[in-house]
Amino acid sequence: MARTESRLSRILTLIPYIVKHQPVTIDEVCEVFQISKDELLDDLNIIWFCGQPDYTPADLIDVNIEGENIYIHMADYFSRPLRFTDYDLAALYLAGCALSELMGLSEATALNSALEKIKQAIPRLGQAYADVADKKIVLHPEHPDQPKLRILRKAIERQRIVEMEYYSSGRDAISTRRLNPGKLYFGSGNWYVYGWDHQSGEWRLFRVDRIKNINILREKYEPALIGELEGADEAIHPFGTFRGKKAKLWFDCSMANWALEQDNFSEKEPNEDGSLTCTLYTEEFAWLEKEILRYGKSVRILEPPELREAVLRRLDRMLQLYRKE
Amino acid sequence: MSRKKAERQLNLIAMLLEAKKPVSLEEIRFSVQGYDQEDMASFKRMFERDKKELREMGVPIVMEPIDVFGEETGYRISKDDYYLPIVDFDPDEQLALWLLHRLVRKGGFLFSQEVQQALMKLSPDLGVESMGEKPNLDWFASDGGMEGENLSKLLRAVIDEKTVVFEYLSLHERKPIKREVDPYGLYYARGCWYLVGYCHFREGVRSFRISRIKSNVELARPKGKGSDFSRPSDFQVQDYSNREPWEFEEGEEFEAKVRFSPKLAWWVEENLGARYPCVKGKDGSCTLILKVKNRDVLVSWVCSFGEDAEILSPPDLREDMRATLEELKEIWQKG
Repeated sequence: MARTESRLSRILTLIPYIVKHQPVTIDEVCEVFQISKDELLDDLNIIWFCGQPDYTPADLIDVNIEGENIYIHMADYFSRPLRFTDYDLAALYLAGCALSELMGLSEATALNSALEKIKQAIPRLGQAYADVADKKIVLHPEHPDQPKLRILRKAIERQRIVEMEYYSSGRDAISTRRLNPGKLYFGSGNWYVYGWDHQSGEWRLFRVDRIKNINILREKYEPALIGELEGADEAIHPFGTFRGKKAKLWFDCSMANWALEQDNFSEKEPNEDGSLTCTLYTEEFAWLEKEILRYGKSVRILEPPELREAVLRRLDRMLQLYRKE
Repeated sequence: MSRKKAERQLNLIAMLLEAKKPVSLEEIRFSVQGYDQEDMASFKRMFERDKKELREMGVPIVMEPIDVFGEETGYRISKDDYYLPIVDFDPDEQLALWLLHRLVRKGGFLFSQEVQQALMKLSPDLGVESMGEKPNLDWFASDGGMEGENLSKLLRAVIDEKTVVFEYLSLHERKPIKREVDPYGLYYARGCWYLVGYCHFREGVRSFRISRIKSNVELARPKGKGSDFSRPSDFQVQDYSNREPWEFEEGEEFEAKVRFSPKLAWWVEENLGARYPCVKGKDGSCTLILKVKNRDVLVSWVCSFGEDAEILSPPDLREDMRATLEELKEIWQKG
């Protein structure tokens, strides 16, 4: 959307917001509309020049800023926002579904009833909305982690330590660990919990689907530890920056495009014949052994030799399953 | 410049909303501030542009006859069509909508621009006292970039049924190929967004991963009015979004049994148990009964579990698996 357009649509909502809730503070409006104080003052300045013909002082919208408070009068015709477009409504529905279906939030019921009210308030668009919702756009599937997510949110809210049986794909093993859960993240189709791990004494990210069992303990954790969480948001990423071990892989042309897409592969070098050489940094090799088996004949391990030997050992263990009759 | 335009358009909306009857072009030109100094031809151009932009934003400007003879026409905005009806949310609903607002504005969620737009329009009915605490959950920040923009365009094209064109790099091609697609729907599965639609290049219905679209999505017929195609009435996005990788295309469908060791049986049950029958063993293992169309994909998936998964049946698939493993062993032994 062009800048003027998005500004105009913001103004058309800003006026009814202020009219309905006045007096409102500058900070409040900036917070709700996610704009800076300067942007808000600019918007108010535009409103101040608008009204009905002949634009005498009696025809203009009356904007007052008294200290921190904003007032708007003489703008009855802008007392309600512009209604939704089909796109607004479809996107709102999708976001709502994403929250209630993927996230399985405790707020899902309230969210669904809010969406239902919106749908009923706008019968004409309600149809378009139902059409999009039911036939055209699908968020899938309902996330199986919902019960675990509910436990984790409860633990976070009450600042309680959790004990969990966790499958580490990196080491290909299950272990029991204690965690001070700090925050939940969703990305790439998975839920993660970020928390302070007692075993390693570090902040770590755990995939929620790999938690086999989880219990909230009676013990509370020091809220001070959560302070370290602030500002960490941007730095947290599912692939992290592991530097422990390094593997160099070669993919034939049938898998080169796929390998190029992978965020956790680095130093990707396409070869003349369409194949690709790349490097992978990781903490552990166990998961990579299995991953390499998935790629079948399309991959070769260039380095290190111990990874190749580990894959061969795994192949032998797998073959044993098929030799028995 | 943009400020003058915002003022002019705001004045135009204000006047047309308050008008008791349709307003003629003449009258708009002489009374709305911002149009007054222009000559007739450039005024008309400017007005047409403004009208188009405002309609795209959803402002319902209509053209109607001014008098009973219908000889002269004018413009009007009906308040009933313009105003968002008041929605009376209870406190829980307000809290849930604010949570959505907070999560979406970070930008990791796709369609965030449209969602923010919609939530902004609801803000007068929400009230800031219900804003609540900072949420203890979040999306991973993503830059969105071209993928986000393309997804927004595809959302519009899906709703309006407009044919789109884009360059698509499929996994098996060396270079992106231009595709013309009638978009039937969008779905989100396994962490990615997909478009499903009729591909004119392949002459059939195909799924496209949005991240593999390597150009901007454009409309094939940007000037065309109305929809460009009609979707087959029996089409269902779910038929595509529900599929596991081994259910795509290729051969005849058959049933396969795969056993998972106790180490991972619980994971398989939680993630696939709702889709396929899953028989629990006494030792904590489980056996999944899968529907398969693509043998190779299934074999590769089973391999990714290492010795924790075993194909039990059918015998020929089991033999395929064994042969694959022998072959891999030979390749890996060579280096």
